Amino acid sequence: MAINSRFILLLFVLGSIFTLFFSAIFGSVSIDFSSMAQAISKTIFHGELNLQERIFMELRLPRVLLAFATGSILSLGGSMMQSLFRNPIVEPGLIGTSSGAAFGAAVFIVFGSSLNEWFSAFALPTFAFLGALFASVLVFSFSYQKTGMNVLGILLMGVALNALFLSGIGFLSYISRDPQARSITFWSLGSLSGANWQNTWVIWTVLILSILGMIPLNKQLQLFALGEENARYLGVNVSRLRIQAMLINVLMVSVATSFVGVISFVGLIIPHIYRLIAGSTDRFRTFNTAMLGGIFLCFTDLIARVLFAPAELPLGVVTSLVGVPIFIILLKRTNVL
Amino acid sequence: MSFEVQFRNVCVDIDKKCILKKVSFDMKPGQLTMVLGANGSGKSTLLKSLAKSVALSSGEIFVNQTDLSSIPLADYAKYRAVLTQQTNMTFQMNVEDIVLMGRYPHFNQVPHSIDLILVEEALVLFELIDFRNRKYDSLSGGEQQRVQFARVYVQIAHMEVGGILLLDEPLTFLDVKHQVSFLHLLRKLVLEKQWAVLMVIHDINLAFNYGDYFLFLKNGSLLAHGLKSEVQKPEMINEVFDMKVRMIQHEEQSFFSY
Repeated sequence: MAINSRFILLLFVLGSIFTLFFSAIFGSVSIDFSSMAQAISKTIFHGELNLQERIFMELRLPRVLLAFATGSILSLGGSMMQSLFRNPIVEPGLIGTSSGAAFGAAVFIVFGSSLNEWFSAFALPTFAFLGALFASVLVFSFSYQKTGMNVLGILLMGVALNALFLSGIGFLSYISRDPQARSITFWSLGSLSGANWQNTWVIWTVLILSILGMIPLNKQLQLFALGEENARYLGVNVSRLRIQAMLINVLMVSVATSFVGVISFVGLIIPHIYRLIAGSTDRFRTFNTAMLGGIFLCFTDLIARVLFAPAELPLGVVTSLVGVPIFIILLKRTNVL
Repeated sequence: MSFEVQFRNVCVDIDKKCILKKVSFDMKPGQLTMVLGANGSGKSTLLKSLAKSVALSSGEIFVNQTDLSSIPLADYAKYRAVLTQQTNMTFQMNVEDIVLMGRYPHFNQVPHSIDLILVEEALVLFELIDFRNRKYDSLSGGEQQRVQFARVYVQIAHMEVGGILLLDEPLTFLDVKHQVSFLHLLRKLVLEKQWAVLMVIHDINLAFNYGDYFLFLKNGSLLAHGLKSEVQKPEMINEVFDMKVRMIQHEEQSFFSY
């Protein structure tokens, strides 16, 4: 068992490195390995970059890194929520986080033009982040009881709030002018075109902190598969674990969603694919789930960029188009379907 | 280390309703204590109070003279295990991995060699060797319960002797043959490991066949408790279950007929 799980870890590390290189090569302009190396060394030693090298350093590399981290975050969040709710069809946006973010973004897109200039660079992410936090806090406050959190209450509140925010977004695009409505749609389907070094640094910091926070929870979350009662009998402080896991999830997902928009399906499907590959009790599960999500989103973003280049497809469309067939094939192979 | 348990005037209220009233009794190592009573008499609450999953309204439970409320849950999980009626898993898992979960309270990230040794031992003991890589969902109800019993076993089997085992109607979904073989194995382990065992059971005859000590609950109160010779009487059963029974003697064993 130990050799097997180390082997899978190694496979995923190699796969991640390969994916990062591979998706950095292709795009509207191809970049070969030597210009990548040159660009990096020139940046470190303050050299002059040519056009191709600048594309790599300023556009391609942050975008690939942002894609990887976003995929990691979404699949980690999904994996955690599925364990926590003991429900395989849960995704990280379930508790209102991503629809809240989308609503916040839509508010900015429609009304934001009347705001001052100073707000510009981080304005959209800020609005989205506030929307995500607002939605999550609302869900928690309604389902918090003296005895602890009411799980069914959270699920139902999440469903209700998701519906509310979606209709809010619908209303905003209805009253907005055409270009604004298009931005709302584009954002609700997710896009990595806003990638820059600032948001790449922020998201990687959040990702690493979240992983560090999740590692000690891994074993306890696995025990949830036996049911809450049995987890408690095995020494898990159930209500504390719930709060810890949800805080991490809300933080990760709201940051990711505020930068890249709503990317559906990754958080639902990647934890399943990982479970089909490695089972539910793998000890490198946190790392592996993160890497698998990163690999998946890098590739889907590559497809979104390249397929109709120079035009870009909305990422959310591609994740479903690529993810669903893979998912069905795996389910068939393992005789679940 | 073997464990003694003392209940002293234990009361439990849930939603302002009194579920357990002033329950006092002792449990000794190597003794199988059977809890009998009608539905809603407080049997499961009694077990949960010792499992540390419901809070006491008043009274105390002592585990080796230490007040249970002062023992941290994570420490308690190292020598107290609980087996419930039936366990459904959220995700597909291998038998071996589920059994290993019983060791989770004992290691941090990576299992120690003792953990893996105990899992192997349990797979042999519970006749699960051929199932070790099978998916839990593909097993029958009896086999699934054996897997869970093995998980509970490894949780407290690391000590030479001692441990507290709580069984909440574990026979419910087993057929007669599996019920008997379950109790047989339990009997053997209780003596060997000197566990203090509390078991909630519905079948009166099985209870008297395998138990050492008996608790009779009615409406949350402990009606009577004692050894087999003291409590195996038809009047007792009549009183506890509000039902007429006869006692039949067969080859020095007594059975209730109803």
